Amino acid sequence: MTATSFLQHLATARSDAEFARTAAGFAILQIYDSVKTNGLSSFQRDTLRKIESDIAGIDAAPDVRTALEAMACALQFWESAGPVRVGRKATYTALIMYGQALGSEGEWAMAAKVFALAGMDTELDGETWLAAESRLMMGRAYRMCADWEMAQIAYRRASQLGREAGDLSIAFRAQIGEANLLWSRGNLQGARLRLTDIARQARRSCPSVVPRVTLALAGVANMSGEYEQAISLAFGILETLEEDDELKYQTLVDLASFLSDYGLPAVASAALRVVQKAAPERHVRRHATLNLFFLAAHHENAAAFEVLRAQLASERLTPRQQAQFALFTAQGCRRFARFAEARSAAQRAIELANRYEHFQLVFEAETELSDIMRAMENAPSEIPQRPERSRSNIVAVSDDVMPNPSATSIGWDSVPAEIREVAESLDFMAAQHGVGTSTAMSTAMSTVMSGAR
Amino acid sequence: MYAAVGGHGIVESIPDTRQLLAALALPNDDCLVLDPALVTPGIAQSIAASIAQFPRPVVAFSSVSTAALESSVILAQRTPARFVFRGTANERSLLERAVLLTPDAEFCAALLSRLDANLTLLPAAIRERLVAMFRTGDGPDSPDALSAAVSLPRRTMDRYIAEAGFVSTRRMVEATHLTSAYRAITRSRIPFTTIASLLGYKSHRTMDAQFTLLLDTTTGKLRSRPLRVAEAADVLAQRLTERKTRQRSSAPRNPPEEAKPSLTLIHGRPRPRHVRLKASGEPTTQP
Repeated sequence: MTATSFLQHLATARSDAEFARTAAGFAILQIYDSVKTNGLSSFQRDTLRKIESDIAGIDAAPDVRTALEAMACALQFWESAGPVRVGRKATYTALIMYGQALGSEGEWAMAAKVFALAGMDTELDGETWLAAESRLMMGRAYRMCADWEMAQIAYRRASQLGREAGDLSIAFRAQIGEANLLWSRGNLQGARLRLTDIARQARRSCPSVVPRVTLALAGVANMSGEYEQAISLAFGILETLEEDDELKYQTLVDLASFLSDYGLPAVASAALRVVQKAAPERHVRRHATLNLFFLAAHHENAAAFEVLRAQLASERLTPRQQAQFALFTAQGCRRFARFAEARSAAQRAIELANRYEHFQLVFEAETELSDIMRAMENAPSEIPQRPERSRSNIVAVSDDVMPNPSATSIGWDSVPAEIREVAESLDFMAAQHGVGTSTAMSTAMSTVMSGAR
Repeated sequence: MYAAVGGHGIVESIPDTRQLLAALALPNDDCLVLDPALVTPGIAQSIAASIAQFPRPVVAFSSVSTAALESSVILAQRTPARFVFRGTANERSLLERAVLLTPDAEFCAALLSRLDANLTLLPAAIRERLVAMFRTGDGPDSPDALSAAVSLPRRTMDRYIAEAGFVSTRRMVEATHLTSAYRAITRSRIPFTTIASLLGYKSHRTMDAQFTLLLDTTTGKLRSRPLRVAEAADVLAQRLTERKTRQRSSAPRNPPEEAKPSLTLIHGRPRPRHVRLKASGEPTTQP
């Protein structure tokens, strides 16, 4: 199964670099399979050393390279250290790392297969905790591939194994994942009930998971159009996450989505700028930058648009992000009346989205191209206005950041005091990180302040 | 490390190998947390020798690299180190369990010596695995996982366990959980709900039921009036081998240890109240 997935990917590789890094991963997995079955021979040891030295020259993201190097070195210790089996533990950890790295590069189909392999082998080897972790990740990977049934199977197993391993946080996270599947398929009410039940149980037996459940509940609220509640819930947990960088920045990215959906793109920008500046994980920073680019394109901030465009052009983007980047470029250029540039970007977005089979993006890019063509036929000042687009259906934005299209900004006068407090706090946070608020937001906020006086 | 320990212990850092070895050469059973990537195999041998002389819990927390694994192999073979490799999304919860639930070396040694006669009846794979589980506080978390780890069908393993005089595989696995929590209960103020959660119990009450079954006491009583290590080991060993006791009950025997009351209250011995932990391979001093 894993081999088939890798071979398919190799057959459809679009560049030498992509082929080389997939081939390196495939080779490592083949050796892993052989070592697991037959033990480590001198031939395999030599091959691992050769691959280890080759990996250094491969054009791959740092996470992918680190994971492959970890696999190559851990396999050399496969049979070491008696009953504690350090080598096996290290190998399984490296395998999970590789799956995570593939996921962060947007290669979710391959990541799912790697997690499935890790899950099966760790379970067969009695490494319950690692098995639970693998199944949890596998659930997420299949969710990203929209394979809901496999995701559900993986999450259920992760929950069982998490309990067996004595790690309730994994068990609860798996249940949150399963609840996320419900709203992914449109069952918002079911998801809300399930998450509320999980929150009640988590408060009693695993308080560390409560922020994650709350964030998921905020996502459901946002999907249900209860933007203010979503913002309040997400902002409420931020203060409790000082020591958890991973979840803190995920929450900020999600909060930015909610604010954008609510109609406060300037405030969303402030949150995203903090993430862009301070998030320790590169892929999270990259997502924030892409979201900022979207906001600049849709809210006609030409200066920010150009700066972010230059930044993203030099980033290593996943195929999906490449298509999104081209689409947002087209959208921004159309709004700035640079139609020729917009058309070329839209065509590239269609080509990329088609190539990587991101059909929702194909549809969006084709709609954008038709808007551009109409705009070119009409006077440049008569840019067609499209109806409001559907909001993103992504709750955990950090899973796959999909910038949320927001048709219009709402006036500060109509923003309740509670949300204004959120905006002020985010403004303060942005100032602390040296990424001051945008002029638009400052103006809006000062208008509100003077209005209040 | 600080995040994993939370407010439940003190972390002291020793940045220098020489200081580390000097500190390890003193009797002290604070937990040592070290990154094997930062020590050479030679130093790992010295650390192992010190720990053999002055036993203490060890947690090896490291990324997966050749340097780390070379030292890790030595530590795994010669110390009761528990290994946490960096790189997984939930590694923090794993590290938290490793540093907060560190087995009590003295209790483990006492228990294993009492179980020795039974353990020797087991096939080597099961015996070594069980001993490692008691010593490190880590390992298969269920009977099924244990049978997978030793590559035996569950039924075969259960038969070996029964033939060696143990009550059941499940009880053995539960006993390893209990021993991993023993130190946190008797020598720290980590809330019982936290310990229960770290062990995977739904509530403190569920954990208490297990302690009552295996140790004839609740966690609250154990903390307020700790049993002597020898007595706790006696009770637990008896609970693990009750089947044997019952089977041979008609035979004349009167081992002095079993004649003792299962609960003896010890008064007047001050107990340290903190789990003291070391980062970067640093031992801790006495509170």
